[in-house]
Amino acid sequence: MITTQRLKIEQQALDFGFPKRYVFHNLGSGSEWLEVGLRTNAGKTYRLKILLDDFPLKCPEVFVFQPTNLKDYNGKLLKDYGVSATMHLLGPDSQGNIKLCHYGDKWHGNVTLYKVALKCLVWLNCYDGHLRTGQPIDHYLKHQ
Amino acid sequence: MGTFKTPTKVQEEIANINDGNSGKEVAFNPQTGELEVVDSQSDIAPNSTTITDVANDGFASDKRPVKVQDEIANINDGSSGKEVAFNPQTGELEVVESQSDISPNSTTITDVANDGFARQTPIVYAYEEEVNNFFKAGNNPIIKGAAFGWQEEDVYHVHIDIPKTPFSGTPCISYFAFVSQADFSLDKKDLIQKLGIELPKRTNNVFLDKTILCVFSYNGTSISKYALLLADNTFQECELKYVPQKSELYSRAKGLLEVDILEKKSVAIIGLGSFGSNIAIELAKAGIGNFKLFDFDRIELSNIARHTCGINDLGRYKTHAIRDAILQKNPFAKILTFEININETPDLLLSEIKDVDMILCLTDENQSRSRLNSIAVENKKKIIFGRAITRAEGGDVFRYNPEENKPCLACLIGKGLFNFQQEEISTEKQANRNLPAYTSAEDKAAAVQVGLSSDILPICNMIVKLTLIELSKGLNSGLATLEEDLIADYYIWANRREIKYKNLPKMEFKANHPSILRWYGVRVPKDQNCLICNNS
Repeated sequence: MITTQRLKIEQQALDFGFPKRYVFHNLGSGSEWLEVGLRTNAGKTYRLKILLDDFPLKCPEVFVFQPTNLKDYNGKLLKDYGVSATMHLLGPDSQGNIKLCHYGDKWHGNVTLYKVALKCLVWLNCYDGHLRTGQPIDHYLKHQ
Repeated sequence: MGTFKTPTKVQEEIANINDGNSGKEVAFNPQTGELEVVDSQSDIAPNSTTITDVANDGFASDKRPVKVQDEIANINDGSSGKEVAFNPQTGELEVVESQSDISPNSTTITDVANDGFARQTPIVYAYEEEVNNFFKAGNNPIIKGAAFGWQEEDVYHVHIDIPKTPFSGTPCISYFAFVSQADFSLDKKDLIQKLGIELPKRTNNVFLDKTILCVFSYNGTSISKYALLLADNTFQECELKYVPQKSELYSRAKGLLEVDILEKKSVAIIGLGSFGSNIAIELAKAGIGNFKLFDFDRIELSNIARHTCGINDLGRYKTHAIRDAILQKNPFAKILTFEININETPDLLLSEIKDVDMILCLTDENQSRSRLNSIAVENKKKIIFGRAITRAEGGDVFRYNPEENKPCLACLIGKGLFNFQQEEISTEKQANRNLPAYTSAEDKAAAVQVGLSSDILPICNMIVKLTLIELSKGLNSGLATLEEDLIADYYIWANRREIKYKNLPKMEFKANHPSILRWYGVRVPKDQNCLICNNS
């Protein structure tokens, strides 16, 4: 469970990077999560769900929960990729929300949620690029 | 200009030499270890031995061994009035006068084939603590138990309680009998009869064809004792020895380590793989008296090669197997085991770790390391992290000391040290847990690259030394000078010039440059912005 002290630090960082675009849910419940709204360079908006169980000891899982049913260049649902190295995706959740691969094994306790959100914003920009060109995410994004 | 000899010419000359036509011959010089060409029977060096039959014996079977053999044969025939006897003081066979000039401590070997060390009586070990409990109970003149024996060696360990340490050997029946002084001096056969113990007969069941009887008596000042091995409808007197209580177990370590103080120290070991198992046992040998062992895994076949536990522990919890291994070294160690995943039960971990003097984090993944790092920082506990990197080409050890302004593990990882990507993956389970989900099954299988046990032992050794230093700090132990040497927080070790260490120069004969098989202490500054250790 995220500590109050850590929460303050995270809020400070998020206020710096994504002011007024985030909400912490279920604080103190043991199943906290962070909602962040991100806008890509192409002007599209995505909403992320960042699970905070065991944060910051464990790398948080990040899902795109809006828009739903994201598709690839060919119209295939991204959730149907399951786990994909080329698209930098981990398995979707039970609602079909895609899970982004971000920090992986470079995770450590000093990484802030602001940095996590920033990395996911990079993925979203790459996704926009994929929709334009058909190149897989792997073409734009190095493995973490 | 010298004459050039063709190889054929040289061979002809050697042939001539060995024919004896040249007046010379080839002889072995034991001082140089070389064959030399010498004049036949004349200019042989004083220490040379003539080769007479090179084909049968490259080291020149000369006449002398035959002569010695003849003499030994004569001795053993008894015709010389001498015989060969084993002297236990020197460990050598000696030629002595038959029945006359045998030294008081010599024992005559009568059957070398069956017993190289010529034991006369079987040895029975009784555990002092169990014997004491037997006396204290007082109301049982005879009690049945079990003995575990190695019959080829005639050694038996007897128990009347469940053994504290895991047993090996073949089990058989044992008795402890507490008798009066009068009964103690009875003829052994009469006493066996009086106690109502049957002499076992030879059967096909190895568990039933032997019985060990230990007899004790108290004369008011001391306890007399003897043991009998009952078998084949008869009995044989044994040597009865005690396995002592703890006061004597570590008497040899006194002087180097403050055993009495270490005995009170407590260590929590999280992760009992090849690192944790070796380290736990080394710490037990050093005299640490209290252990808390954490691991949810069981011993599998893939573990056996590098783990201290063997095939007889397959399927057991690692915690239990290591507990038993520690008890083999120190039966009086206090050990608590926790078969839990510390990432799933952090509250239990926290409550159990609060009272230990030292934490050793020897897990193979970063979530548990991060958790233990946070706990250590918050609770001001000393903690050591250790691991091997890919194929155990090397490894690193990190020590966090809360008493000083020192970096924590998060500071270290934040600086790019203790890099998780280079971690050794030793099992498929670890590969599944640590590698990204999209890694193919083939890649995961290929990622499992296990180093040698001998590659991880130096790293274990360093962790043991750092632990002992931390636990005996300020206690004026024999490790005081080591404490002055090992001042770094982070240590790196290289086993081989591969991957990460491929640019190291060859070790060869140089001692003044970086190389494999050496420790390198690294000064790591504290990260002033670390969110873990600056907030505690």
